[in-house]
Amino acid sequence: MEKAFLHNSNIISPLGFTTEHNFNAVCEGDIGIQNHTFNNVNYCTSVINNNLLDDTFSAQTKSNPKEFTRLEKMCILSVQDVLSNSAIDTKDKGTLFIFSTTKGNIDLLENTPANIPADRIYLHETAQVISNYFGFINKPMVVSNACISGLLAIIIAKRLIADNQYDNIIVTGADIVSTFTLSGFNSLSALSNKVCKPFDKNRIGINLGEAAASILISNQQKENTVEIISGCSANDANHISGPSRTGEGLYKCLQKILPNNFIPDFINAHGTATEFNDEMESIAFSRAGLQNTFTNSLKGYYGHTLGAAGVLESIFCAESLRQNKIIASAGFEEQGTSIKLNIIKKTENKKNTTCLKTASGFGGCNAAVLYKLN
Amino acid sequence: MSSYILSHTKIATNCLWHNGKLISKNDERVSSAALLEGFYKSINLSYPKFFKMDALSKLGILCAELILKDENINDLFAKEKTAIVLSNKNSSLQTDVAYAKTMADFPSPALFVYTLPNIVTGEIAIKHKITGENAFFIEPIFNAELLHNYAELILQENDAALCGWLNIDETTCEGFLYFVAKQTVEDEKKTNFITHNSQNITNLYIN
Amino acid sequence: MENLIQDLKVQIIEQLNLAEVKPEDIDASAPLFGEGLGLDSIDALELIVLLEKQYGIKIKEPQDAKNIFHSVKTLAEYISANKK
Repeated sequence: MEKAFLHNSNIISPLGFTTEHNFNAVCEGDIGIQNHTFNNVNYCTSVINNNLLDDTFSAQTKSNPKEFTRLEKMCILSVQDVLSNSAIDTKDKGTLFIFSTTKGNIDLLENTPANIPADRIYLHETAQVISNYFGFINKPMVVSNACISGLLAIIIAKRLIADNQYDNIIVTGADIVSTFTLSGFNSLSALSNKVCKPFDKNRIGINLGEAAASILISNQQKENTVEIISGCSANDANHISGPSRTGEGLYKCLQKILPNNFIPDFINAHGTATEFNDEMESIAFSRAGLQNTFTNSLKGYYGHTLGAAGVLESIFCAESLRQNKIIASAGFEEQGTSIKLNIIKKTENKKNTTCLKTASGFGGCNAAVLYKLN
Repeated sequence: MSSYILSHTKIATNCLWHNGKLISKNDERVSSAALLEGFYKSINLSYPKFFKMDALSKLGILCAELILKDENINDLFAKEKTAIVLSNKNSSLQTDVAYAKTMADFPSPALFVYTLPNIVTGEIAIKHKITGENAFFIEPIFNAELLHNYAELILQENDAALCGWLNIDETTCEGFLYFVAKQTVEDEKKTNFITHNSQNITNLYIN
Repeated sequence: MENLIQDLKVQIIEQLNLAEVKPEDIDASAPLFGEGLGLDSIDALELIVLLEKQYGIKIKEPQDAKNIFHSVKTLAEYISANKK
């Protein structure tokens, strides 16, 4: 069985257009979440500046920004950065592109620009446009499984590499902030009108964020690379929009992927800052004996980036391991779950070798991955 | 170790088939939702939540029901080692459009929660208490190779998987699910199982 | 009040897609949530939409919803008291 390793990555977000910019910004305590107006309604969200996106796209790709949607531009910039820093041949049969998203070009439902064909609302069309841009010879794989999409795409990539079906897989996770998702989460009373506070006593809900995050996963081991040790998903079989009160699915994931009595150096949790999600996670972590493990959520910097979250946050896991840093869980002040967790309050240098990444989403889905620095 | 298809259901061209046998047929031209509500009655299902679901979930619940109640297949395998691997073209587009219409005045939370393709996965999981692996793939057309390949990867560490294609819009209503399991010694005596391979999956989907 | 209760039963059945429930099946004093109709958190949010759409009433404090939605009767009383 081949091993799978995390290599070059990229993050396109309000905090920067490279992994390095993003990681440094977060280490400095920068936050991407601000007040923005959508259809005359004020929302607290993490949104990429349109002009900056178009200008960067024009400068870096020499392509016409009008031929692509916002989401596609973010993805193309992201994949281009990963490819330009690696020797991957997109025309090799051993190279695969996996696209993870929840809503893709959902903004086209409200307004289809003249240069964009209407069928780009289909997720596989979006993936194909990105794939064609780089000339991937294999058909893209598209994973759409709510908020675990990104992490699940990484798990799928690991399985395909372990089975020796591919040598190199680029996983891109992306979603945009749209009136569609904002009004929807608002109708569920799930949005916070202030910067969100994962695991905090005064948390009142999520912020939505947008990002495209890409990572190269391959069977090649290099110095200082992070290995995907194990990963799996599980369903709560409880409710389509509310997490299990006992953290059933997430606990099942932890049971499956963590060796007996194993404690990772830190956990990067889903931590959306809704009352029920964070509470559920605290229960699942404590059931697995992880309540004292350093834990953070990145939602306080980026908001919830939906299909991008699992990829973006895994990139942060890898960088935290490589650079020996633990990152403060932004927005956390006071213990806010019935079981006390060890939430990271300050970003600092600390030697790390292993980290657990988790995600949970609508449809009762949960996923977890264990990463290890080699 | 080989894996075998134990049961399969198909909804296409206004017909409901289970293991190759026609269960119900609707000769009239009706909407996808009305067609599925007709099938619900024809198989004597009693599950009030069915009527709260979007059409994609209704389609999945119906297909899964016939398979999992077939000689209680679901109870033969550990629920946490049974996966649900689904695919389609349209994601949740029909419900997305329906929700978007409510956005301007009274956004509907009950519609919004169905604007993800894998909600049907959750509905099937809830009804049958299946807690194993999940994956939802989006493909331009039915892709037997993808289902076969991923289900086999999953079966390396699990016992069984409910797999298939659930694609729906106003005029299309196409569902095909099959239940695949690793063969056990006892099962070897049984001869009516179908070997799990792309060709057989394609044949079941087409015929 | 009786008319309002009757209207509400019909509206609740329609808004919450309770296809197999008839208005006469709903006991106006019985709890809406928990047992009986098997309503959940999404249904509660849909009832908030119903109040706004049909009666122009916005529930300001979400924690009040629990008492207002206790039964069809409590809901009718709340509407009578708050309708503009």
